[in-house]
Amino acid sequence: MTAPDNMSKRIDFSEMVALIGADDLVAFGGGGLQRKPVAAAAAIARSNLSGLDVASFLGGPEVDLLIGMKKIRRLHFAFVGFDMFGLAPNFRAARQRGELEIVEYSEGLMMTAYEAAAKRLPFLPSRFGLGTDLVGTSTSVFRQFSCPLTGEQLLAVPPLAPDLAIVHVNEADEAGNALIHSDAFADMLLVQAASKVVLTAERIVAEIPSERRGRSTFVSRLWVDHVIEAPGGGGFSAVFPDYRFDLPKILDYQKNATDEAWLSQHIAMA
Amino acid sequence: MTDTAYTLEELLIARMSKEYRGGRLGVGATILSDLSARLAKTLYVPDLFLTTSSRAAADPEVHAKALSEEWTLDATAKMSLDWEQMFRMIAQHKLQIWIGAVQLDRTGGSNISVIGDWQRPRAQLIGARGIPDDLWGCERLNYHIRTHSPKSFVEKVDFICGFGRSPLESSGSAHPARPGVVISDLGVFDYGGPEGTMQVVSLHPGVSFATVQERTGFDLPDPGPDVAVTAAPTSEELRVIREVIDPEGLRRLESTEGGPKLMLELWERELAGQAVA
Repeated sequence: MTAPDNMSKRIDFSEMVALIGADDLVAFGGGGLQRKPVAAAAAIARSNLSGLDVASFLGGPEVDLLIGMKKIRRLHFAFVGFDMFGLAPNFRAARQRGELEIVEYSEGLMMTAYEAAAKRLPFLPSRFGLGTDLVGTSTSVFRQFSCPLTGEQLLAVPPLAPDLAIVHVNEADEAGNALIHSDAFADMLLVQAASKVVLTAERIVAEIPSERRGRSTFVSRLWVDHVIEAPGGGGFSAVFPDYRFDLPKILDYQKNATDEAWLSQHIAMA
Repeated sequence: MTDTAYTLEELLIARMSKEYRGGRLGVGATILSDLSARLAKTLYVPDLFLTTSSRAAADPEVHAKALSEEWTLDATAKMSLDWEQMFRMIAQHKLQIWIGAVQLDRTGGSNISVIGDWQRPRAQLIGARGIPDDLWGCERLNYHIRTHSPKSFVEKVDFICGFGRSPLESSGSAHPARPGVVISDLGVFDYGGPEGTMQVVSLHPGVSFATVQERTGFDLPDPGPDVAVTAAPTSEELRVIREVIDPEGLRRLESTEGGPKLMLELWERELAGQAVA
């Protein structure tokens, strides 16, 4: 059943860009080179926005191209890279020039921060990260404390609450229900942590098909504000089962992406 | 024993496969360690729970390693393992992992985040990722270092993603992971040396302690002339590696042959295989 017109959450990329305010924290879903919202990131990279606060659990090409286009002021992450295909060229270059402010998490700490935001709590306790240098960086948001019940040393992890989360999915309907067939990474926590959620979808369908729900992740419309139909929206990342990663394009990007003229042309087509 | 010729990568996979116990996750964060978990499940630990690049296809049967893993694992995966559940498994010591470290130090500190100063690194790597978490979940953290050098084996890591000896007062019920086994292109090591420092367990065939010491950035205890030699892979292990878990030879990506050219070649062959399948 198609949603009535007034219930449709369908928007386009320019409307998505208009949702982003100057000091907003924008977060991206997916992980490394899997199911990355590359088309959405390219739309932001082409806009007049700059100085963004960005979060990505396991960052890949989406944050790398935004860094390359000088759109990111500060990045919250547990990982940025191209998985088995190597390092992220602009992230690497910007950090080595001292141009990018970062807040470094571990995977467990970032999931805990999203969960604290989703539960609207001032912090959640964690053991993950204790005793490591993550606690001592100049931008660390974690604070060590004694458990009031047992005395054990723990870390207080404050919420990480994005103003806007952008997640790429396989299928969505106009009401915002969606399916993710591949690894969902931290995306379910992310959509519950964020104030606003935009899904980019390979397909917008009249009704979510039931046959693949067994191992797939279902995103409820109650978490979703807007959907954008974006076939191929994962760029050269893999979107199972729709398409594999595009290795020639990945290698081409890694070779050329620190050249701003090349990158501008690349995002014009993404 | 075997007299068959084998490569360094095959030796490493076979040795790494000996570190898994059953009824738990076996995760390899590098190609060689991933293959070692598959070899262990095939020959030694049939109830090992494999997850590779996609948690959506978890606990599969043993398949040949591919670049696009999800497409092959999907056929036999039992479940989608969401990350929240996975981190509860980690908290309950169900994870066994080989981590590909960039720096390791004398007491088992590890680093994959930055080289140099964190504020403005000489080399920005990938970020701490899961090491600070695995540290408070696993019993032991095993490390795989591809190239043994004074840059990879250092007196003190530049950024502590994982520590060796705990810097914290012991409190509560949780104990951090101990540094476990380290494998490089020269030998196998552990942290059973004086005051929990690194020592030689075995040297790979043909490697001398003098070479290892020369390529290590801190002093190692001399294991003496009777030092063990890392066991060569058996013919059964070689058969499984070559015919079952890695017929296309992805293990070569982590050898001196590795690079974009080999990767493209493997990728094109994988796509062609799909087209005829």
